[in-house]
Amino acid sequence: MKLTGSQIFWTLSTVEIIMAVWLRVSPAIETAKQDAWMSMIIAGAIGLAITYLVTHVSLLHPGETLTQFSRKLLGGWIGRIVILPYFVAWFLLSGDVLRSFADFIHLTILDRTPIWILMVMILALAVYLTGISGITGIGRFCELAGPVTFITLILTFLLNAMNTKLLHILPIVGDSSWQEVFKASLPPASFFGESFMLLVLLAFISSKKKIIVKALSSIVFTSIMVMLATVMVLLVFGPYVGMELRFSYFMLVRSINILNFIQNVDVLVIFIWIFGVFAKISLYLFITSYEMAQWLHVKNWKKLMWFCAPAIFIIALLIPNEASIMMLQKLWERIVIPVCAIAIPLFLWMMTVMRRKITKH
Amino acid sequence: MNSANQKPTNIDPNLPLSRHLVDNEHMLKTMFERCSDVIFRDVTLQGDTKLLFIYVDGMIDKDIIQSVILKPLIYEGIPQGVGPIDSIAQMCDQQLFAVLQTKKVNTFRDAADDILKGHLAILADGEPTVLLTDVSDYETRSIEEPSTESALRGTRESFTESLRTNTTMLRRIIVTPNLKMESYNIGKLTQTEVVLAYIDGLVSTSMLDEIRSRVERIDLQGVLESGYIEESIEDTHYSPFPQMLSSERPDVVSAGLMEGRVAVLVNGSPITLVVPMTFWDGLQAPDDYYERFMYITMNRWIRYLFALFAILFPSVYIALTTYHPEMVPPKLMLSITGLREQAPFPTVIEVFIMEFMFEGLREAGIRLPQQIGPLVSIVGALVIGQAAVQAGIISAPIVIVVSAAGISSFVIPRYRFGYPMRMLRFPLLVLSGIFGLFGTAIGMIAILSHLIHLTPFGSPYLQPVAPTKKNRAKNVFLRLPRKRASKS
Amino acid sequence: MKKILLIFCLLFLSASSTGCWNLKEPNQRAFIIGVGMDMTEDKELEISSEVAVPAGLGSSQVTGAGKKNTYTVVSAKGKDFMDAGQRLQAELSRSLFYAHRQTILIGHHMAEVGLDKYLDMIFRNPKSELRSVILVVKDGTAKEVIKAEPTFDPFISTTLGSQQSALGMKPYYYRMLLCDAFSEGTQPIVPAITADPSRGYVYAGSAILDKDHGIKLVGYLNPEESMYDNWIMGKQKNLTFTTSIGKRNETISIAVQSLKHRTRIKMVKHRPQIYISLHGIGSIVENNSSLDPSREDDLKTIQTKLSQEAEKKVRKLVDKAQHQYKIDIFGIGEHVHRQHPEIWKTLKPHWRETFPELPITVSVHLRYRDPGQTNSSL
Repeated sequence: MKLTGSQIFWTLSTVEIIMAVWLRVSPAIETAKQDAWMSMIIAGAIGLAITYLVTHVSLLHPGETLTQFSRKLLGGWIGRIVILPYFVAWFLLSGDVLRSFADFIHLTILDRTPIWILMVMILALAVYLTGISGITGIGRFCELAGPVTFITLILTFLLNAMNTKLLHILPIVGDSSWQEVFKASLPPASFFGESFMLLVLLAFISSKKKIIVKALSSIVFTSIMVMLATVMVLLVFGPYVGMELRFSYFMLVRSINILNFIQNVDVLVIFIWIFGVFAKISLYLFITSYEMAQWLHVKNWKKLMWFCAPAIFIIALLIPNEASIMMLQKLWERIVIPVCAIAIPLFLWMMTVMRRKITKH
Repeated sequence: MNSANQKPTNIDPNLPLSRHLVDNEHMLKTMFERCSDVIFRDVTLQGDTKLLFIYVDGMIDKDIIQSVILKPLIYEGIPQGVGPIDSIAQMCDQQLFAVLQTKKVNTFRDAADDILKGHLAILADGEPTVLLTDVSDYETRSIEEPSTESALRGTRESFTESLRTNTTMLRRIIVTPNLKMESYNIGKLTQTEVVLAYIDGLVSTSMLDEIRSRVERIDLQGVLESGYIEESIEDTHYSPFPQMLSSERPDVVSAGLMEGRVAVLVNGSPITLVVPMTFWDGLQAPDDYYERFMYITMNRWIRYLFALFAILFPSVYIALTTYHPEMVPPKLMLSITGLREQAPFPTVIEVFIMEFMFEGLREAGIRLPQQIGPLVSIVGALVIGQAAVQAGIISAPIVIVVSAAGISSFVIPRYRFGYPMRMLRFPLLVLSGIFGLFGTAIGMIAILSHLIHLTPFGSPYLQPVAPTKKNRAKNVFLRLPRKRASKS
Repeated sequence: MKKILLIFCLLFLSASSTGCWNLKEPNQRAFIIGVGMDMTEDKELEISSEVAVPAGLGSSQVTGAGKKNTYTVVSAKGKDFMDAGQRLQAELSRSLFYAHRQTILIGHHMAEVGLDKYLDMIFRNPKSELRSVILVVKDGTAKEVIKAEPTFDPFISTTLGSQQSALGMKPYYYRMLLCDAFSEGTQPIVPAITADPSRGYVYAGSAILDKDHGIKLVGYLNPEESMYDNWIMGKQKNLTFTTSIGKRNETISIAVQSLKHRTRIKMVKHRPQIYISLHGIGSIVENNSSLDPSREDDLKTIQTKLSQEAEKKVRKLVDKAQHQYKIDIFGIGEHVHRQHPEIWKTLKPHWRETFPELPITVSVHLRYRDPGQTNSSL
């Protein structure tokens, strides 16, 4: 199981773009009004810092996943306890993503189909892909789905060019203060900070060359795309309508009207989105199963898929309503990112440096 | 029942020959019992040297036997004083016959095998060896134009059933001693010659070893077509997609060889396999590299789009009209609805009926003799196309959708690659019928996951797009001019 | 592997046997092409929907029985949009489908009462169409317009958007109404039509809605006024302008293609001063005067005359807005907001009082690029 540099790039960008463009545009507009696009840039910068940290820590332990090196650094038990927050984070995240996407599909296109069927189908396919080809397969899948998503985004922006009204983005930092701009950047930053999954993924790279560049550039790429989406939403709807829309990017797609013929293409974009969300679910299924196998000392990680997939499904089923999805996102922003993406990697980094110094002396 | 009692021969074919011609003759005659086409011919030279000629009638060149073998033997006899001669066989071999290939064997099995391949066996009294001379000459098809892979530009030759002819064609194109042709005989009954051709130095050794070991492991009664070999050495049987490129064009195979692939030629089959294959090969036409690049780039995109169309169009039609009518422009949607007003079947069923009819027509068109072939299309077009629509049984848009998708599947240059596209339509139809575009997406993801997983002979099927090889991926989408393609 | 496949297949079988939840054949849907909203005397919402009858369209088989109607109009009253929709459904055997709605018509009474309560439904419903054009029916009900027989198209509703384009305006979509209604300082200026017994409807300028008071109707602008207003707001793409010139009042017409507009705000002692400048370049399409546009002097005369005439009219419009309607129909508030966000914060609460006293300077520059096929008048 190997990943190439470009697979890292596309995996990271695909799973982050689809989530951020889908869910993070309107909340940012709500806080920062027409300056939300600046918040996206700041969020990208925060994401870059987090990514640099986790990439650096991970590359200090080539060929080892998070569980492997934390156990080596901290010893069996402490090493295991340190990993626990990650499991909580990943399981919650994948359950949350699965549920909110199924809800979204249910809302927009299949309002009479039971949600659990939609979730089971996505999960079953994820088990299939992860089971037969592991992380390599997911990487390759993202190499296909990523560019397609990217092209779709660009196309929808271009086709909306007729609907834009440049004045909507003015005044710059007039209505909202810098504080609000910064505040609005935190939720998207927490989505970009999801890159702490690199702690696991970077164990599979085929060569160390340029990996840092690839990982960082994928965050840059993601934040640019999210920023463009925000700018487009602002230009078409203006800040006041934009913040009222729950899925403003899809509304943006919906306002495309070319020659009175290409209309309502949001269903088509949702079609593309399914690919990205599927990649994300598969990726987390792999990460959780693989890490859990390391954690429990099980040789064949594929066996643990049969635990992780139902677990994700049950978490997704247990989420009662939209309010708790919001709560989970808050939890992600306030607790998971500071702990899993900043505190523990920093701690592990320090431990590594200290260990190396001790062995040198 | 009867044949079970009639044991063919009780003798062990692995036995060595004896010194006595009579014994040998008896043995061989028992082996070839009831084989009316095997001829035994006794010749006595100068009164004392007894020779026995055995051959299969119709597989040898009688002129050569008469002029090159029989004449000198009978009229001139054994030449004298040329030096010590161990055996008649050796004498014939070295001094007498103006034939190219000869060999000596000394078991009945080897002798029988070669006789059956069109060799002339010569047995001499007092010698436990058989001299076999290759005088085989049987009727074969001449080289014709490729029938399944026609190209506007490029060679007009196609492979024939004769392996030698085929290898010759390759040799004529690739003139280097590095073009290796390893030969295997496969099939207990057919003893078919299978040749692995590759260019030494270009081919990856690990892949070659893998292919070799797989070919050696083949255990078949008979090999009638290269499809037998394909099935025996492919990675997985559970895939609708072909894992080997099959071609009857020497230029396609040579191109494959020069890219470092291995060609598998099978005697008796004009279809040569090229391993490994990628997804994109299935969508490339033989003359892609002979025409101007811009035009071909456009053509490639048309093919990619139509391939997608072939697999998706009917299911997307169902999804859009029955699940997401908001996506169809209002005017179009209203005229579709207007045409559907009296349709008795639900859309999904309608598409299914038409798809089945279409596949039936296609199948009928292949099997029918050429004289009645057009009849099928007339009946199909009239009955199914027009009458069904006019009678209001099938709505007109469905006919358009199904035939458009059918035609798109024929745009795919390799006909074998069109099969999976047409076949996968059906599961996609079911999925879209239940879940709309979500179902279509799920189906596509499943197909993609499968394609990603396929790695025939260790090379990923979707290469060079996933995993991405930057320099080569460009060529999948653009077919750059040669100079630039080799530079990048 | 096989087990997974088996489970998958089983799941499928169960799924397909329980039915295709969302499947609905196209001929089980009633496609709504246009919607009219009226307010009845007793303050009830009346929805009239133009529903397409697909059998009357396209299909060539329906020839013998005579042409069927292409549409039917159903109307129902209700507490809100969906409540009325539910009653509409009672009249139809096919389920209503809103995503192809091309037009929303607002009756005069409805506009007077205010639209704000009913905006939400159109955005919230995911099947709803955002690209409907929205119009106000001046002095009439939406119902009577929607019932009218169209001239060209099979549906009257689809013609309304194309009529706006034909008049050189950018079609006013529902999305834009929302943007204006939620904006800081732009009032929604919605195109208006009047019902006409022979043609169905006639373009009648625009309706001024007041977003600060429940998107209520304030008044109407006639077609010419709304043309200038659209120019200032950037909603006009081209226009034809005619003026009389010389002693004998000969007319000359110019078709103006590239319209430019600019609104500048200058702050003088914390009081904004507004400069509206309009530019247009076009070609002379009719010249009944003795002036020869190929001559420098005549050209100048024509241009200044045209510009002055236009300027006068815009000034009149500004005057009307400031003193008759007392409402900012030019989106000047929005410009103040964009150019001076700090000052806007103080101005915004009493913008309505400030607006009528604002010094507004208007300048119009019309130039012509192309004299047409002839020089002087034939």
